[in-house]
Amino acid sequence: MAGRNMKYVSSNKVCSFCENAVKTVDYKDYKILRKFITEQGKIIPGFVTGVCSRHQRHLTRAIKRARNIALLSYSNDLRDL
Amino acid sequence: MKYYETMVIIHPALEQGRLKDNIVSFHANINKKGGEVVATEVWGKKRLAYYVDKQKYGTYVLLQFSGEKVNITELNTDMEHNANILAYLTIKIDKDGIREQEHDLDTQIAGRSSATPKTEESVDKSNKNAETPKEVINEESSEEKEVVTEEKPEVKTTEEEK
Repeated sequence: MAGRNMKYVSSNKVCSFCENAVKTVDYKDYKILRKFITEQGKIIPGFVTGVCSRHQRHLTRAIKRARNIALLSYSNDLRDL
Repeated sequence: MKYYETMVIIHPALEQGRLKDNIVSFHANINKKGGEVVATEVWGKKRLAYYVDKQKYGTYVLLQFSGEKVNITELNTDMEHNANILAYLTIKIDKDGIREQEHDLDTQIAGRSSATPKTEESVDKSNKNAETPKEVINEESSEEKEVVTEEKPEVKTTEEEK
């Protein structure tokens, strides 16, 4: 009964950036970016969060910039938390 | 006209006067390299997501500047050699990305430095929060151990029967 990828059950979601008419995703809004990374610090794929491919590209770039300037962490070891 | 912005993390030991001197020197350096500073924003002392040069905290400063021929590579090398800078990031931005500077440098620095004790409190809270998952993990591991101990006697009994 259970599918192989039950973790990633996709539903019809609308891109939150498109809804708010966001042109570019800024790395300085790191509090918003936190919603799109896992507890470990990995970037969540667009088909899980519902972000469109265009905004997902902007998002990954912003997250990588935020990591570079120590606003977001590259990785979190869950055992240390 | 091209627009750029540089985010700088300054050493947390620098406060008030020395911080302002540093920011003013950045402005002078940008002007020397052919740029014109449009806006500066002092974010204040913040906790870093990871240790940079063995520092847990850093003062974030955002510099936005414009110019036709700004030598960005030289600017970056200067920041690389500056011992007070922990990290920096220079990117090209659109004109829409430029922020309006509401307050002067002095008021920004004074306002942020008074807010620094709050960050220490928040750190304590985060530490308290961080302690709770440890217990959860320990409980899980202890449960696993119990399961293992329960299984062992069963194996012994089967061996005895044989």
